[in-house]
Amino acid sequence: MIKVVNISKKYENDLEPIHNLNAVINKGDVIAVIGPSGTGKSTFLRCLNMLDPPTEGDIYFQDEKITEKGYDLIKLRKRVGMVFQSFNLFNHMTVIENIMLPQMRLLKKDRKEAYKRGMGLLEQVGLTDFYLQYPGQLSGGQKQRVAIARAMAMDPEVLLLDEPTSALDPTMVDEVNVVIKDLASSGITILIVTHDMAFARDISSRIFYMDEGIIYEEGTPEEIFENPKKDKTLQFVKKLFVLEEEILSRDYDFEVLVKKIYKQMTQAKSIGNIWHNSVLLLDELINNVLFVLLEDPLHIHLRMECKKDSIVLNVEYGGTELDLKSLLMEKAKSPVGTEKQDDWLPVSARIINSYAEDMTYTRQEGELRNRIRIIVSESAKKGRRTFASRRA
Amino acid sequence: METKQAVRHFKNPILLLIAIILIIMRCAVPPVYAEESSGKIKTLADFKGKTISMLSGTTFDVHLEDNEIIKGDVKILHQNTDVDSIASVLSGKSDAMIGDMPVAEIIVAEHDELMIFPEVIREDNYGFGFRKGSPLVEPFNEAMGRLRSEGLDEEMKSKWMGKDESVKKLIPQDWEGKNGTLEYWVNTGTPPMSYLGPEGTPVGYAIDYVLHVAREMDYRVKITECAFDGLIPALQGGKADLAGRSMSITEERLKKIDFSDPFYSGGSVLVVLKKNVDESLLRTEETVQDEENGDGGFLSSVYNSFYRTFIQEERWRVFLTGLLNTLLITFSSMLFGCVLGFLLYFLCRKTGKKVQGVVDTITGIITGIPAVVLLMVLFYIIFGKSNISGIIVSIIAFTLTFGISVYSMLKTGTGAVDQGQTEGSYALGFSDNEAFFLIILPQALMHILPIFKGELVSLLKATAVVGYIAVQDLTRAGDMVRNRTFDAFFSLISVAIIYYVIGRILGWLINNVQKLVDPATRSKDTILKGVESDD
Repeated sequence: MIKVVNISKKYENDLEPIHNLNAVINKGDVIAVIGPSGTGKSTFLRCLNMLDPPTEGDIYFQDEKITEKGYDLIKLRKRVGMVFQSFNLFNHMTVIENIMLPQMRLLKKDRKEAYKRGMGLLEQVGLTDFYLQYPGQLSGGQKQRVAIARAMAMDPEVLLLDEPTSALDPTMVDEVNVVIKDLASSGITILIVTHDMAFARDISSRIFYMDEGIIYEEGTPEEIFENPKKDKTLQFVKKLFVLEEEILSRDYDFEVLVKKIYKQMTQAKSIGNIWHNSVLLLDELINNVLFVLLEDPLHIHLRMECKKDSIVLNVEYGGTELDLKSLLMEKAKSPVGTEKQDDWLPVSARIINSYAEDMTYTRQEGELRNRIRIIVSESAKKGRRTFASRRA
Repeated sequence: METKQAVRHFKNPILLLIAIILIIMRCAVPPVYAEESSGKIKTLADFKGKTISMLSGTTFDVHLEDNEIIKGDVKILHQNTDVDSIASVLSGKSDAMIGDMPVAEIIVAEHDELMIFPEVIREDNYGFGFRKGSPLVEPFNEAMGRLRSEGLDEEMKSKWMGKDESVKKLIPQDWEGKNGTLEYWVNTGTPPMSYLGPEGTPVGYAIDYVLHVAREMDYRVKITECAFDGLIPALQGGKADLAGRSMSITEERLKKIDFSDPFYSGGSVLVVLKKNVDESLLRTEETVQDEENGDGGFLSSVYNSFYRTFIQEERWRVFLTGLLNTLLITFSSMLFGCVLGFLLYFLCRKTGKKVQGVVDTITGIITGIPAVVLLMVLFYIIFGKSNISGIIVSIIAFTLTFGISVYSMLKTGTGAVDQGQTEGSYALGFSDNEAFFLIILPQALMHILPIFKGELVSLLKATAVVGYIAVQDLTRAGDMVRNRTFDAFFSLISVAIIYYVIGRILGWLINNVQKLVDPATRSKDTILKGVESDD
């Protein structure tokens, strides 16, 4: 449907975000364009509807060379919809007029027709009640849904979405993502630039990983996220799923860690509950076990790795040999209700035990550091009762 | 309750303004005497070091320099009209004003507290000015010489300097004028030489004199009223064939223009406050009058001023003509200025940075020139040779300046609209023009109109300078009437009020336009017109 041949984009300030890029987009593809910042993802998208024409190379849309001088860009843009990060709704018009005007001016529909189509689309995005509001009166998420409805009103063959949720408050991301997911399953060809990896993985049929001004690696979501072939892709993906942290003092703010974990979670939340379980487990392990048992100076190294349906926690701590695995297993065995005052270790041990699918302890000969590896998975739910009894 | 109501009245800004003005007038109309000079003036030598007002553009300063006794040892205040000079003397800002004898006679007749100082500064001759090398000078002098030998001077003096107002009329131009028409430019404001007659047209000794000579030469005469400063440029630029009413013949002026033979011999004299001169100089029957002569108090003095400024000799017609001209110039310049501004803006929008650079340079130059200078350059230099009316030239000048402000308002206004609006329009498939007119301009207007309102009021006020090129606008009308009534303040304040009121009305109009074009004020029915009929 779209063929991109060796395009480059060079700006006046000599910045060249795209250099000799090639790509083929097929009808019905849902392509997520991902990659580090400043690698020309948005520029690539804006080349496709010639909002930022490439300085070199050719783009073919349905076998028509749209980079040809004198090509009717208006004709092209009517067939290629675009949704911006900043919405770009027309502020002086109501929601319904925003959707009606392009239909009437560009598709020559009459008012009634345009209105009907507009209201139909507003219903799809769940905003019928807002049809007479002005964009200034809407929340970011609502604005973006209107922008999507406006783009769809033109019945485009391709829809380009340029970071549609990046400017939104986190609480509004979902309402927009739901709408986009709907579109993705409707069969329209979509290219979406996004930093929301979970969403990219969720909706796309293909992933373009962009780096060095080209599409550095492409493949199915599984190929890119599970088995990237190239170095930079691997590093990028790894960073998404691995969190490392050093804990050097008892004053360490656990909240900071929780925030980091949840931030990571928004990028790779394909495994839902596990994150929550991991946070509970870590809370017990660090605050109630390690902080109690270890002597100063503290040096705890934490590494969380997100796998397809589990999280692997690697905890390293210094000091004399301390086999946490055996200790926790033993403590957890003590009967419920026999805890002494000031000794929460059995309770913590039971909680950790209940969330941990598997635990291994290692200490190499001659090394000064202990290592414990804990695997947390969705299925580990047996500890709930114990946890509740402790609170009671 | 009554006080509350009074307070509410004062909430109306116009009423409040008028109240303030009346209070100012109350303070200003009765002359405020400056500090009493220790010694009273006895001889001309006593004027040394004093402040003297003169009409700017005249040669009285040279006369003061040349005077054997004074030798220029005075401070000179330049005034725009004789009335300003009078006001200056009355208020004590200057110790005397210098003027021509015939003018001085009229002034002291109007103001009892003033007198002509007996010692004359300089004997003087008046002539009519002609363009340098004008072939008209010789036949004019011949004709004038013939008429003078037949006793024209005596006839004119008895007609224009007498007490009988009814005979003070110009002779009707009932001759054929085989030789064409003379363009005669004259400033008014100095009875009896030249002033505004009952019909609001210039009349006077000098004008009647020109008519007599023109009849003798068989020319018709077209009289144009103009500020004094514009007379010599008008001759040099070829707009006028002859000019002046009591222009002294001086060496300096002879370098620029030619003069006819003198038609009147007068002199430069000083007008002073009676109370400042030694009593021995006062005629016995005259004594210094008290400030308050108790003829009815404040309200009646305001009424008298009002009567003299508007009702007497139907002077309101002068104001009306002036007002209409001011409005004509303002609105035409606004309309053409908008067109020009849009054209410039589109020129820049459609072309590259080079054109924009050229446009910015030209607009920069025009913005840098004061409106008066631009006006004079257009009138006397660029359109100097063509016979184009002052009003048209004014409209051209203000169209230029206003067009440039519209251009920059458009630049600023569209710049204030987020770039994303343009991108959003292009991405949907709108053309450049559609994006501009449907999306950008309606939003930019909301930024532009408040500035536009201010600019329009500025334009209205800026047009006050068109008097320089002989256009009789509101300000000039006020000056003309002021020069006739010798009432320094009332007509000024009236003009100020009229400008203020028009400014308010313009502001109100633009506010309404803004409400009209503001999309947020539309009703639901307007927005949904013709879409829900089948629901």
